[in-house]
Amino acid sequence: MTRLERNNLFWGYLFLGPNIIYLIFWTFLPILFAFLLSFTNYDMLQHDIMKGFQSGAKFVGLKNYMLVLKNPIFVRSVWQTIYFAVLSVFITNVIGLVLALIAHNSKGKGFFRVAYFIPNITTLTSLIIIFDALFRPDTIVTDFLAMFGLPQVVWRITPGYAMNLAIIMSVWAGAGYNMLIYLAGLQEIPQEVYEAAALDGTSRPKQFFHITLPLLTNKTFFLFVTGFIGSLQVYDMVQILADFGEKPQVGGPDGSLWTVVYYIYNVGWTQNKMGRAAAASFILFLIIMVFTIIQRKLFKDQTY
Amino acid sequence: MAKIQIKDLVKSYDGEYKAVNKVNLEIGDNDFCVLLGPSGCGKTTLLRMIAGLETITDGDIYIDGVHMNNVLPKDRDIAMVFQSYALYPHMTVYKNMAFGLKMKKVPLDEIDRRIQDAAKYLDLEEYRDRKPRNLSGGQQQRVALGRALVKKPKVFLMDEPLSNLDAKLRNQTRETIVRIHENAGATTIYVTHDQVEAMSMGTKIVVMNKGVVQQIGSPEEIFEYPDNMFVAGFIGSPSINFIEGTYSKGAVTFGDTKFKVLKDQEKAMDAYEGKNIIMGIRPEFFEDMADIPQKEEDLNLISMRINFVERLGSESIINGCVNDQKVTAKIRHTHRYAIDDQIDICVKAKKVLFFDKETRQAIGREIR
Repeated sequence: MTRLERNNLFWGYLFLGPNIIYLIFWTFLPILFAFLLSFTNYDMLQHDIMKGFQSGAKFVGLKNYMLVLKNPIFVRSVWQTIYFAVLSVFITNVIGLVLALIAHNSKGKGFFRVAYFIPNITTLTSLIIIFDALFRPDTIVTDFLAMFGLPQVVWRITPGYAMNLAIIMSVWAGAGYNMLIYLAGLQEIPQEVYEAAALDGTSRPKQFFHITLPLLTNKTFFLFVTGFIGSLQVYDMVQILADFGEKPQVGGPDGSLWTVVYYIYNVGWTQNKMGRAAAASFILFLIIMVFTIIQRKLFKDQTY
Repeated sequence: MAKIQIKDLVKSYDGEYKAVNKVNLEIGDNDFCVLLGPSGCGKTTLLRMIAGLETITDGDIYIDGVHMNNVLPKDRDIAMVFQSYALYPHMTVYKNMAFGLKMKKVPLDEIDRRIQDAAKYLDLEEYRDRKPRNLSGGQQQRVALGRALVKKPKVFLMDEPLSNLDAKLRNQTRETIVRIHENAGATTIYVTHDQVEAMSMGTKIVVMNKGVVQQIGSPEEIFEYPDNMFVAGFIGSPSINFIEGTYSKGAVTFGDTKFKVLKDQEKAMDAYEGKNIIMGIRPEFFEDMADIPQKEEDLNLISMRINFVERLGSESIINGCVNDQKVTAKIRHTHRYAIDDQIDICVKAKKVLFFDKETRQAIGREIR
């Protein structure tokens, strides 16, 4: 190594230093610690964490994982989380793309961008107040839905409706962000490519499917992966929906709002079973990894 | 093969400024027509109107006698090569070329055959399965040509297809394009701002400026007999010398130099008796007096002081001064010129062009 290279290395690490230290103490070590915890029966109230295994906490092997996987609430929360994630990601993407197409082809581009993005920065609690007020009997929304035969119910406290309300809210809040990403993607497609396609004999709808959509694959891939990572960890929305207003109930109406992170929170912070919560976290980590790998496989060769 | 007729074509974006102004043009079967002009002269707009990518403000376009104003681009039986190539980034070379044919529902084996031929022709066989981003600029360019070629169109439209290539590749591709044009027997309209490209490829050159057609003609006509000072100045490198002088009795006086005017030109010049006119002399038409074995009748002689000499090997470009007027001459490199030398150069009287100082139009154009 020459002096110049050594010098570069020194300054490089010096600038990276603060971030590396931060990452080690607040990310890598906690992950490692949680991983170790998931093999113990550590209980926050009974065991003093500073004393380590002297506190009475015991190494229990894979017991936590077994318990979690056998727990019907956890199993249910996994399926409900996947249901939420798949629907919200798909619908958010479709609506985001439609909004982007509208914004891209219309004159007041700036206005649309702002208007559609505002829901994204709206506080979740105020969102819930609004949506709870809208999705109950005799509002403009449920009156409209009644035309399609949907019963007039308070969605938030009705099993089978509460989770769908969460999906609607997350779509409403997230579509603006997807629109922004898709809009950037649309602006990257050169006009000449459309002109070449027009000369090649494609009509506008065909151009959308043969040119626009494939050329947005990079964005779609990004939005799907980040969307799934985010929505598989859905917590605050379901927690507030379950605990809000009249008839608050842990897990929502008939447990229909249980999600994996909501379950982890409950096991860890209300029942103090930190070991079990950590085990559930790593199961969720595996689920997210599987989803990401599947998407990488699906989008392989599609990106350009 | 197709005949293209353009009548009083106008394009205006804001209703006032006309990007293309009353263009009349007839392009025959097999013509290699080059639209030439500086940037912003409307040549690309004209091409895009022929392609149907730009709406027509006024006037008409006919291809083979069929009125095309309201025909969709895809139904015009044309293929276009874009300056930026406009390849489909997500498709392989093969699919890029096949796309247009698939849309036209050409049978798959026919598509395959045509692409085989084009790929062979354009040296693209080994890149069939690559995507555009993995190709060099020259290869992308050839794919763009191939995509046009396989469609077997009546008309090829090319919008500065060589401007993104380096000089060597440009020469090669120039040849390829001319070959494609000749083999396909199609009509080609080619847009460029590069006069060398225009002169070397075109059979018919349309010089444009500010949306108006300045002159239409063969490369030789455009070079030797420009219609006006714009065309004269735009074509040729180094560019033409414009020298102002006073016309009187069969000669133009410029300082203490006199230029003879040929007998048959005199009639047209009569109207300028005693007036100032502009002479245009191409640097190539100057010769060193020392190279002329015997004196001829119609030689115009200039004595010039050399300011600067560019030696190009086979020839020299001499920049000099005659009566404070800068003059450039391109002369066969048989002498070693030095700065501040006083040399005698001459030009044949019939090679001198005359322009009206006011209208900037050529004088006596009809008697050439």
